[in-house]
Amino acid sequence: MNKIFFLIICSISVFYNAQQIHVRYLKVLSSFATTHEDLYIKNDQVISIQDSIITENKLTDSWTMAINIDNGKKPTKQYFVSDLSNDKSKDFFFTANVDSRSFFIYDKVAQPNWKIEENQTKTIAGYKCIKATGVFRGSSITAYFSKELPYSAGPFKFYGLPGLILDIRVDNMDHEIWKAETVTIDDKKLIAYKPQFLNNEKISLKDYVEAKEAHMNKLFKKVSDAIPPSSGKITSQNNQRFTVEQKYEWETEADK
Amino acid sequence: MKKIILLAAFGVAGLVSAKNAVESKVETKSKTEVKAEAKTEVGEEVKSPKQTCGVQVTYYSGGQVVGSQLLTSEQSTLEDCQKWQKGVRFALQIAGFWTV
Repeated sequence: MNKIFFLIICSISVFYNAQQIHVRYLKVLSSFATTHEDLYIKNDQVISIQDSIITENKLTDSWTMAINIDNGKKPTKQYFVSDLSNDKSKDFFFTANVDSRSFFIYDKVAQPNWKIEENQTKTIAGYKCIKATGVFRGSSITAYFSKELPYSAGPFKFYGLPGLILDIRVDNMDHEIWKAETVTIDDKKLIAYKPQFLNNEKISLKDYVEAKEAHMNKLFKKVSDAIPPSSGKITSQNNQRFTVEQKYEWETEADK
Repeated sequence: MKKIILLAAFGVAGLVSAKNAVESKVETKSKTEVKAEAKTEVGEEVKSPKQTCGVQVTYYSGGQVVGSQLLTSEQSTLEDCQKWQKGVRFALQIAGFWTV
């Protein structure tokens, strides 16, 4: 009798783990643009894929401008690869571009010190979610996760909660918002959880950030030099860190 | 009887004269008010403050936002602002920046 019971438990466990979870998030990239991010989880493997299609808000056309700095190359999908381990810090590998160069970047992401507010709940994509707050690389963030989906994962590089993150956003920012639109429990799409980016340069996060910001500084100057003269005073406010990642670990350590 | 008619005529003439005087006073006053208003309008035009006019540039690389730049200049009118905004967009396209 015990053997039968054990076999049943094992079968359920195997079936449950073999299921592929797919969450499709709407991601607000900037005040004027959105895209989608697809998170897949299967057998302790996690991959989040940001879509290559960007939707621009045409109503703001006269005073906004979106510039592709990859010399006309169309946006590509971006990948964030990790697993379901729930250590204090987790290994991530992600893709990014700088000045027409494609990178595959290693990043060790520290788990935010989450504060869970059990009495603050809301329903997202049909799942009851609980509020949690924390700080991620210098930004205060608010997340909603569901214990009904017992996976310590989320979009981008977010993790560390006792359930899947279905909504996460940076406090007091009108972008860097991920909100789940759909959740599919038994997704059938064939996903490569360990994609090989053989043509991408391998680089550390610190080297990537330095290369990106040096390139952006050159661009800001080039753009400032190119704008037409005006009888009035012209100013330029530059922001190299437009995203949730405002302060990296090596900068925090240097401050101490 | 003649005296009465003469008195009546003086009375009517006096009334008419008094009415004209009142009207002319009112007219004079209204002309002064118009001049004052016109002066105020001219004064406002001269002092018209310049306002901040901007273009928000968002930079994408590989589908991700990698930076943003807010370019601003001071412009007197909405029309001047829109002209400058168009100029910025055109200049950046000429400089070889690709829009998303």
